[in-house]
Amino acid sequence: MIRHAFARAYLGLILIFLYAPIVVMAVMSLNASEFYALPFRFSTEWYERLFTNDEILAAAWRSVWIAIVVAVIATCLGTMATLALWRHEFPGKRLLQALLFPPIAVPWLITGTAMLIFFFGVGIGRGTPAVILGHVALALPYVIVTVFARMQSFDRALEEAARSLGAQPLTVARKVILPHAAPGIIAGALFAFAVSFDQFVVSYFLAEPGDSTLPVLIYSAIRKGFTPEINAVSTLIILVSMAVMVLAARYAKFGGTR
Amino acid sequence: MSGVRVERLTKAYGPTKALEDVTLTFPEGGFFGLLGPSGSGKTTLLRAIAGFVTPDQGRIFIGDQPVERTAVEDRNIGMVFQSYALFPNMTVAENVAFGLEVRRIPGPERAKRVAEVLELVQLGPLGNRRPQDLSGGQRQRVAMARAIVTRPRVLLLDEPLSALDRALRVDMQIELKRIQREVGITTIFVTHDQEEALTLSDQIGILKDGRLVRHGPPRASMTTRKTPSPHISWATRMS
Repeated sequence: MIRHAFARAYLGLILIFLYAPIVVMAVMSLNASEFYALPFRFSTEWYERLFTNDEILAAAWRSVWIAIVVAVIATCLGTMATLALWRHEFPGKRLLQALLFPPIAVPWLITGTAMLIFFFGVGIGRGTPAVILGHVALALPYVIVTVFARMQSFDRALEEAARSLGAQPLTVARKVILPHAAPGIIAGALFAFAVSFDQFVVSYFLAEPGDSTLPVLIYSAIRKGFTPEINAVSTLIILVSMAVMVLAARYAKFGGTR
Repeated sequence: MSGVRVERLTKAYGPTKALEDVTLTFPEGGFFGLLGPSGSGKTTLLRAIAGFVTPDQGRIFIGDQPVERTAVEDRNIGMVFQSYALFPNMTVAENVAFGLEVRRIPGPERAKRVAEVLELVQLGPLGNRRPQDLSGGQRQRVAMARAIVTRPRVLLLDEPLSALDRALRVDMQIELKRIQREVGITTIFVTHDQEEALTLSDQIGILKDGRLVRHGPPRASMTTRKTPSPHISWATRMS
């Protein structure tokens, strides 16, 4: 019993540690006072201001569409790469697989710097295309890991059964392999969206000052002076990101049940 | 429908010979049991006939047609897998219709043939179920129905009853035999269960270490002792 109570208290502390700052921010975004003065007075003023702030709206829209484009590209490339790695044996496969994962561990600051130098070197420079390329590179390993994990539960006899029934390779892929991979692909797409949507460092390096994404805009805004509007937009970002992650987690653990 | 013949079939995996110089005729319309312990090469032989294993040497004929260079999907075979390998994202009827769909059989005829074959395996009313919601014996019947609905030239069964419990297995043996008789299809059946092979087969082939050690009608091949051989004692020990 005592251990039980201790475990609960411990869990509670961890959750407070994780969520207290977010909750404070969310509460303050609904507080009327500009200077975080208490007592709390409920107001939606900051949200109203937010939705009339063209700069923030433009950045938010840019963040969303970039994240969608990144999710689509990274998911297509990642799924194809995963199916190739999963299906075929070829020389250098292990090396290739090993090379796919370090990007997750390399600090984004380093990746961002390297990309900036590289993009200038090859003439792409800064701007939205560079941001998209950078985000796709960051998101790709996440897609591959997720789809690959899903394919581990695939029963190869299903593929053999389809072939024995006369299905050509494309039909096998479409009717048997892709339906099995689907939850992993959806989860991978959601991860890719989240990686792009939440990305600050690489976007900061690669975006042109005029068209920053939402996280970059928030950073610049904070440097100029902090307003509760930022609380409001940050709260919204957190809600979107968490919703995406919850969805991704639901799909990712679909393993084997269907 | 056609007979099957393999000639001097050899397949090695590194130093181990899975098949060594196997020559065997599977008569048209017959029920042929391939018997042997695990690692004897019986599954490799079945998978070579199916096309999943490419032999190093030797020939495979389905009917008069050599098929060593034909892809699995173009061999017109029916196969039942040990795990049944039913498509989990499709209903029973969709599973059975799969082979007809890839052959572009038009909808009405497809539906008719699916209904017929489900009737044959006594699963008439279960067409809309998912494989996950069926018992082991029912899944087995779906796998059979799916394999024979395309009217393949040969039916290959890879230990089809091993996942069932004993009582059900005996029932399914009778079922399997009945279905095979009604359809009259050349059937090749892999098992490590001697009793099962004896009950079901018109002809038996016994493999050991990749070699065909005996073949012929079940009783004779099991009991003749004209030529005393260690393989026979092995065969009688097996049950």
